[in-house]
Amino acid sequence: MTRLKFILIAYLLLISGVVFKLFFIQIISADKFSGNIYLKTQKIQPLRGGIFDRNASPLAFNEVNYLLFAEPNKIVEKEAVTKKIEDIIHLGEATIASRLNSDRDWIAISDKLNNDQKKRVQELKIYGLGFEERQRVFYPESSLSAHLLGFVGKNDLGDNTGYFGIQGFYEKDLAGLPGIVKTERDLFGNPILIGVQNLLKGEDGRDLILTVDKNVQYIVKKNLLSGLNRFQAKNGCAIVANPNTMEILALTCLPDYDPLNYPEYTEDIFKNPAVSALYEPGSIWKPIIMASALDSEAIKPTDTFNETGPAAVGGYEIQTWDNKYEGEISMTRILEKSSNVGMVYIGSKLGNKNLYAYLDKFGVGKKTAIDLQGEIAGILKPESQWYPVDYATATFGQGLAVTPIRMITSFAALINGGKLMRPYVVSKMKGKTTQQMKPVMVDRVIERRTSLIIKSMLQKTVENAEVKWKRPEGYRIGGKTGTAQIAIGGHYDPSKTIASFIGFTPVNDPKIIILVIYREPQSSPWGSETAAPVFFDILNELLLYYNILPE
Amino acid sequence: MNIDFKKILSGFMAILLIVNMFLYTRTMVLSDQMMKLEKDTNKLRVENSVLQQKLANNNSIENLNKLAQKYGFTKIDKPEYLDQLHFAFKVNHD
Repeated sequence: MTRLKFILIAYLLLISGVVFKLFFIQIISADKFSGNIYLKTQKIQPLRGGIFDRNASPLAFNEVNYLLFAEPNKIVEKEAVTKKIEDIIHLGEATIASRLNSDRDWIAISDKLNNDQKKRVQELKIYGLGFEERQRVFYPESSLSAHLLGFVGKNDLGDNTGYFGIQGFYEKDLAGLPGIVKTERDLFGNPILIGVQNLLKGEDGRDLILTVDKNVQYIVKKNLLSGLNRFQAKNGCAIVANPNTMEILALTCLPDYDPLNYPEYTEDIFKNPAVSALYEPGSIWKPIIMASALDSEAIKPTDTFNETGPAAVGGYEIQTWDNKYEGEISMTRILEKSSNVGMVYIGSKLGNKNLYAYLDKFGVGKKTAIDLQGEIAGILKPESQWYPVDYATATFGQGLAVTPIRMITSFAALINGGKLMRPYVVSKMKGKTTQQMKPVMVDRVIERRTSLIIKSMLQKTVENAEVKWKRPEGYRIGGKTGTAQIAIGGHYDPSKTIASFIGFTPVNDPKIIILVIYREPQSSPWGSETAAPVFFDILNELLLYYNILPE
Repeated sequence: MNIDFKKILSGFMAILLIVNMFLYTRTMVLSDQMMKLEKDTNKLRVENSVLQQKLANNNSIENLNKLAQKYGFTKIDKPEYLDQLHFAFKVNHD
């Protein structure tokens, strides 16, 4: 009995000791021991959303790659190791050797290893080498849609962040929300089953489905590039859209860049000229003024104008582009021969107040609100700053500035029944919830009947053009050329132009509208000889692709 | 009735030891399985990513162009369009 009591007392003392120690750790020295050395907190990086074209072909999605790092102090036979690694990663023996011979405890060798390369390096079983898994955005079509997509770079904290284009605009949706997991693990890293297991769920980024068709994008880019080389132009842009909804089917500007290797390019190339560069539209603006005059009933389609010579406005003389005058001409003929003098007449009939009001209505000084990062508004001076000559030049697209996206958006309103639409490139966002984007009408700018008249005028403008283009037989196509001189130092330089063409088909129910612009083409300054042929090259391919029947 | 505290305590300690050993072994096994599952999931995720990339590369326009050339599907300079097909058209070269 005495021995049993002794054991019990000893046992109680032991328990008391344990209780006292626990009390000491958890209550008295709680601050000191508040950190749980077994509790591991991990940030769960969300998967970045992918970007797909309208047919679900991937344009940008995550790929797993690896950072190969070394701990130089642990590596023996550095020369042999250098050769072995070089055979797999092809970085250059000198580069690898310099990194392995570094005095640092840890150094990155390459951060672009794919899974296969990682496996091969692992098989070498070299002590002192290690890997870190990384995620980067992969572009299977490389630079096909560079300006449209933008690129993913690093922010100040070293996290992936989208810049420019869609990836800049939809950064929050694509990036998602990181989650946090807290687990108790033993010294070997195995989870402790009865330990703490806290999970704060994150949310992966949302996938974006675009209105863009990669095949159309390819057709457009191929032809734009061919024209850029043929005409030795400084740069070029082409946009294809559905004029009824203003969903963008293709948008490309050249020169562009490879979004995967963006650090190799200068910063100015990242800006998308289609939304970030202003230009004076020139003659392709004329149909908008013509439609405004028809809509306000300032003129009738059957009216005529006596084109006898240059027009004098506010002390300036305005001539036709070829300084030839045809006498009595119809309203349609004014567009056909792109008569500046005729347009000044139209402007005078419309009246200054109405002219300014229509320019504002067509959104000249406003952004289109397209879902791409970096859009800027056009330039429309306040009316108080306008001189008489400004009203005259505005009728043929000078003295005001727009972006290419504004140009095509405003022009689309002429042919879709008068609806100014908001252009958009993302049709659907897929994630926890799916969001379907719908076309948005910003304003009705002209009546439906005006739209019918201007479409017919634009069809005749193409049919009776002085330059004969490679037009597809059986199709009725409407369009207008533009050749705008570039203002340098307060004067227009006649040798430097912005050549453009905007057109659509079928005329009865337009399905596609295409804008082609070249800046400073060298072979010919005229839109009719540069942008227009490229427009028809693109159109010919698209008619087949979309199987649009002749009218 | 004499209560043999010694035997009860010994029995209790033995049961405690067995239960403890069982729980410890079970925990170790489950923990190991969890670790293995984590590794497998990660491996599958990487494999999935690699396959997705291969699929995208195979379907890329650049690759399809290469294949078209390889199998002689290159475009000819002057295609002849068929009049009787109402969706085909003739190019006006004038």
